[in-house]
Amino acid sequence: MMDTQQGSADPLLSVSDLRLTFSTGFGGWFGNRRHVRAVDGISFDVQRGEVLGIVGESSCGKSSVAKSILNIHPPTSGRIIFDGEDLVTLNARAWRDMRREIQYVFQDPLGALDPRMTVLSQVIEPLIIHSIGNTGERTKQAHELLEAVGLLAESHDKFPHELSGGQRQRVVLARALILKPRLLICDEPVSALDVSIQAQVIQLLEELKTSFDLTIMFISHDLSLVRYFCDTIVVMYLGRIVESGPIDEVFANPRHPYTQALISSIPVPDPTHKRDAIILQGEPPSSFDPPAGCHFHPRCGLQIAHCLSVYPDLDPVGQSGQFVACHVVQGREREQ
Amino acid sequence: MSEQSHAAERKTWLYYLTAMPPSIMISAVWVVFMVLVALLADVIAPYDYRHMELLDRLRPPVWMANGEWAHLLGTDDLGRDVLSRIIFSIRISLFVALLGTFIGAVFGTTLGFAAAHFRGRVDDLIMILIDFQAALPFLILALAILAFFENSFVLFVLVMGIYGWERYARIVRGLALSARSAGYAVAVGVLGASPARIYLRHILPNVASAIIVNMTLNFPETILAETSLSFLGLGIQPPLTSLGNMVGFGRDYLLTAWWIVLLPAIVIFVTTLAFSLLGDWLRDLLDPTLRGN
Amino acid sequence: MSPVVIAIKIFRAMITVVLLVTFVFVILRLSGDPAVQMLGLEVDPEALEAFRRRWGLDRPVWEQFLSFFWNLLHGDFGQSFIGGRDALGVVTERLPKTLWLMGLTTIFTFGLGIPAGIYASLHRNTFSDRAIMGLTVASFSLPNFVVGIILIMIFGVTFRLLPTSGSDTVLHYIMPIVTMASADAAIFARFSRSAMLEVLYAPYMRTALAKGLKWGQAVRRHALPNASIPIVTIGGIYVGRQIAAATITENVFAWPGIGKLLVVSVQNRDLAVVQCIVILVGVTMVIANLLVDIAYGYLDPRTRTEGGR
Repeated sequence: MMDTQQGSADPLLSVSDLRLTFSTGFGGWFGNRRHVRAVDGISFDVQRGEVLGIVGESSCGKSSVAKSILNIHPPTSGRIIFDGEDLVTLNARAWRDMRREIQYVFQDPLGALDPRMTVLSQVIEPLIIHSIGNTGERTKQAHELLEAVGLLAESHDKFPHELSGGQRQRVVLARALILKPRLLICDEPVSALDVSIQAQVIQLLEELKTSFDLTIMFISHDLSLVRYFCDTIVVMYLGRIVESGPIDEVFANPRHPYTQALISSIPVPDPTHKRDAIILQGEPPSSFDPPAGCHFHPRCGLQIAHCLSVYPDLDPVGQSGQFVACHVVQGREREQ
Repeated sequence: MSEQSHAAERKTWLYYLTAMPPSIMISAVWVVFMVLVALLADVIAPYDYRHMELLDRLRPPVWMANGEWAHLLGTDDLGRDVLSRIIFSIRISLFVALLGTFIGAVFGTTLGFAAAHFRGRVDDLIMILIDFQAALPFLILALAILAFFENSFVLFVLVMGIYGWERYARIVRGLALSARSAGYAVAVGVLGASPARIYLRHILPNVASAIIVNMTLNFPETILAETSLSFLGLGIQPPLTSLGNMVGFGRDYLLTAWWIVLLPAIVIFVTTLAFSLLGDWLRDLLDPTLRGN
Repeated sequence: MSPVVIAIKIFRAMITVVLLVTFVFVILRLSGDPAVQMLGLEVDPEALEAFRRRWGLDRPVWEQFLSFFWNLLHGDFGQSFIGGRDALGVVTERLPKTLWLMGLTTIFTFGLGIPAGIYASLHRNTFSDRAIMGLTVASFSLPNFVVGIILIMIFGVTFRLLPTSGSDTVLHYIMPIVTMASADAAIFARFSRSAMLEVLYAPYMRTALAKGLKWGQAVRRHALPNASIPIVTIGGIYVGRQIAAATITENVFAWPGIGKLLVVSVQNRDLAVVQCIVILVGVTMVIANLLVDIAYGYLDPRTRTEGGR
């Protein structure tokens, strides 16, 4: 089980043994249901003011974690404690109020915006939904916020398709932040943008984090971004956490073989630097039929017999708050 | 981009409007004319459509021997003025078709949304209903209902409302399903919007153009359906008059007083043709992906 | 296509049929006392009682439904007002005439419409193309009773060339067939034209020509088979339209078929016959759609792996 990573105050968000299982295929008649355990027992904490990064391959479940927390897909089991309240137990009414606290930005800024509304009205809309202020105040707030995210006044009355990708994502951010949430979950917020724009948006996020006093969950497959922006990192593989810890520690000293492979593949901007990228053997796993025991073992160079039958717990390793789920690593740790 | 492309977009709209082929322009004019006739029926019709002049029966139109100016298009077998009856028929036929199309659209759209929103069993049930409706030719269904229940005007309009609802339901269901999973529906939900708000303010406006396109298809077909049923004597009942009605009851006088039959028939033809052409053109304009159907 | 997929399709078809029967059952019950409905008001109370007992009207609803269904499976649709005869018998008596009409019309529709459409597609944007397009729009905007009436007026009344009612001689067939065929031939023409156009300019046509095939060969080997896919799809809709068209056309020409029978029965509220025709038509449509669905699966390899919707 997870302990709090950075001691001191209560975490803003505490997830315990979160599970989310999808069923697909024909229902009823032919009993063809197949189950996908998108999230298979995840526990972690997010401290106030922290930026937590979640990384992993596609379909490792990182987006599903976000959707569970936000109740877009209600979790199958587990607890999600946000500031003392268990989100899993909230009813529809309570969720409406909770929406003001937790907001979401995801990958496709064009899809996230209604093509028929001006960007200004879309930023105003959350205020209308939650009956905040009167018309004049709302418009003023929206204008101010749009300017704060870097969208010039002349663009406020435009439609989403008239803006560039970077501009749209700014609008999406403005819309998410107008309710002054405390937790912002970003799911691949810049993956769809040009690399040069990515940097701008990340910088914007940094500024907003300070000015809005935000706690951020940053989901990405881009490790260099995560390294730059996040304070803590969680590495997921096939629905489970394989490693977590403070960002510098994990990057300097990755313990789990999977993490090591990921980090070794980060491009280094030095042409003379010879990379020893660890290339993983074997096929990417299928979520329908995960390998028994440790999910990673078919591709792992370190596997021992134990790995084939028992899934390793996420246990502390080292002194600096790192956690790893690997029999071999834990074994070595115990020896020391 | 922005400023210029917006202006360019508006320009193409205007361009289209003025570049209407003559056939479309004539159709548009005729449609407007029909609507005006329908609205102003009370004012422009020389007689009440029920008014009988039994001594003046079967009088031919004015341009034939024996015709008179009092009855421009002649009279029918009960001495009723054909012109007035045509005028009022236009009003009644258009009114019924409009109401029917509207009812069908509302009904079909609601079921489409319900299927998309609730999924699971509700969706299955609605899909089965859609399949069922598509399986039975509308005429047969209408006849069955009209046979079992007394034919009243209200019932008939409702039956017209059933025409084509399954098309709306299918389209709306498909669009709503993809809209639901599209970003903005989810995003606005995360912002706290209730499902009602999401459907009414976000999904509906985005499916509206598809609904309207379908309505333009449905409307002339509804007119045809109503006329056919009235022709069979099972639609709009006397004393109310309809174009189909007039053709149906005038059949016996084909030999002796062809104008009772032919004139309403021509009006039916020209009107449905005009609506069809106009609808086709509008569809091309609104949704180029539907072209070529 | 796997047998499982076909089985699913058949199963869904059967559900539709059950739904149809339920629908007829429900509106029969909703519209008043079925005994009075079926037998009329002037029948004496004993006959009404006998009817009720035979159809189990004094028993709970679901039992009624089951016996209704059971009777239907045995071909017992009740009795027509026409001489108290068996409804099914009355209907099957008229069936051949309608089938003849529909069959011959279909030959004309396909024989005229599809070649016209293909011709138009091959001579795109020429005068003949535009002429055909114009003619077809006019055709299907005309309700078929108007076509029928006009034909009667011209050929029957004014020129006295053709008989206007009944079905005794070959001449009697001409106008009804033309009436029924006009709208659908137009639709098929438009449809085949657009289907061909989509296919003619597809990349695989260009490839075929690049391989050295002559234009005619390419059209025959590649364009036509692919264009036939959408044409098959509307086959199902076509059957429905034919039935509706027959109902009206038979009325216009006093053609002694099922269409006329249906309308007359509706007018007379001869519910046994109405019920019989509705169910027969429904079942026919379901079978037609099922066949189209399966045929479509064979013709278009792309749909073979799909199971449900």
